[in-house]
Amino acid sequence: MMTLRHVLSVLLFGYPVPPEMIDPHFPSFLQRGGGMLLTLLITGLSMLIGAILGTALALCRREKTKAASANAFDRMIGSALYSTATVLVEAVRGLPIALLILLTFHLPYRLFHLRLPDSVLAITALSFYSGAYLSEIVRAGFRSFDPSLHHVGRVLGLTPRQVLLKIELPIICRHMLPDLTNLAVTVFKDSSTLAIVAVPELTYVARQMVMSEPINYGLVLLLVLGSYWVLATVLSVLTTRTLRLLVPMHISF
Amino acid sequence: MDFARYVFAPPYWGWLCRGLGMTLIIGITSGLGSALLGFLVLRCYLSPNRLFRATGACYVMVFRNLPLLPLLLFLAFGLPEIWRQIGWGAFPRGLELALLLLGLSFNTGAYLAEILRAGAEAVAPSQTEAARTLGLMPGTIRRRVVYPQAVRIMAPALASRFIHNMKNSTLALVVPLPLESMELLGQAGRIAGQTFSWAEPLIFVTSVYLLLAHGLGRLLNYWAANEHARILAA
Repeated sequence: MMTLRHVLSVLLFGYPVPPEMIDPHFPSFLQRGGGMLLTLLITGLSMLIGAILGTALALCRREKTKAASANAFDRMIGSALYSTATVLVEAVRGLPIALLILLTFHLPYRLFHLRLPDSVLAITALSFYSGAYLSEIVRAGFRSFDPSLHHVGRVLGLTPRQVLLKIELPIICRHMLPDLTNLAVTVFKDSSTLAIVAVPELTYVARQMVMSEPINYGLVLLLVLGSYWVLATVLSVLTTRTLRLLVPMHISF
Repeated sequence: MDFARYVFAPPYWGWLCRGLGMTLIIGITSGLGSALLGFLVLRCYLSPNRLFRATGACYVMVFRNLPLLPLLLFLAFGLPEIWRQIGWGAFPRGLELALLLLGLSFNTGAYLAEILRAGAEAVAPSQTEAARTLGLMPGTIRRRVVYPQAVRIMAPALASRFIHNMKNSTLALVVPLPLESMELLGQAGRIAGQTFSWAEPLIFVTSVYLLLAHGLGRLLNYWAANEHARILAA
């Protein structure tokens, strides 16, 4: 007998993966789980990786990277980094998320015969997605940074790296919080697109449920939409406020 | 990689061209629909009536935080199911495209409404007061003073939303449209279904989208920068 409790637990944790479906080539924990929990896991991890990737891309795209060093070789490396990062960011930002996901799931195998578990591919796709958008946010942050603070740091005897890690990033971090929250909500919502490649996150679990149990698809989808909505709203309302409180004035990296 | 066979060969090339046409049609139609919705909601926001303002705020709050894919799935599959369950008989057929456009418009409309509201709030209240002093009617003030400036102030954000909407049309992939009205990515999937090769059509679609996003994006941004500059010059 289907109960509301059963439905909710499936939406939260997904269906258990039958043992014969688990690929022995990969660690099995990468192939378990599903539902809202998987959605949240994918969102969190790809935001985290995206944050690192995005900061790196933004650093590559600073004007200083392109032409600052006196050394010709360094300048060459710098401009190569600059253009690679620019192309990557513009490409990812120009593509719809569905296309990006399909590319990540089909190209590596076709080009390099590289096989990876679905969850890893899903996190890769969303990390690139969030990284590209995040790099623009970080870049805007760098632009808004008062350059005289940079000079102050240098005069006080900090190395350029220390200035970046101890002064620039901490200050920018607080400025970026609203944008980061927005991006996190966007990634959370867009992770639903992973259903097209059968990653068992919340949206796909709804379909699995309709196929295996006598339940109205419309009702399940309403439940799914409701849970996305509640979590996205909570995320967008709460995080901006709480993060402000949680992130102290003086963080350093 | 065999583009000659999987992309440029007779049936597939036709499918992709048709798909591109449908992408443009879906993107533009839902863009217009969402602009209409956005203005409707902006009108609600500017209304003195509290009920209208609450309705507008509710709409934005609901649709801004709904993911698009489950929403489209709900419109395509869930709604007919519920329709039948209630006992209204069979769901009318042939509404898939209309429902898809509705879903896309409602999604983008919420964002556009938010952008337009920010634009309307950026118009100095002294201008509205001046217009009222000059004896203009509230409707005329909105049409002649508030709306044009709101659009111009927010032109860059609006342009990027329209491009985003165009990209969102790829989610039509999950909607059971008739074969001839599937958009670009749907047609690529159709090719993959026949040839078992995703890579070639996907790479082709990728290049089309890059051209579209950056070409159309540049065009729209040019318009946006012009409009934005006009407000700064005034």
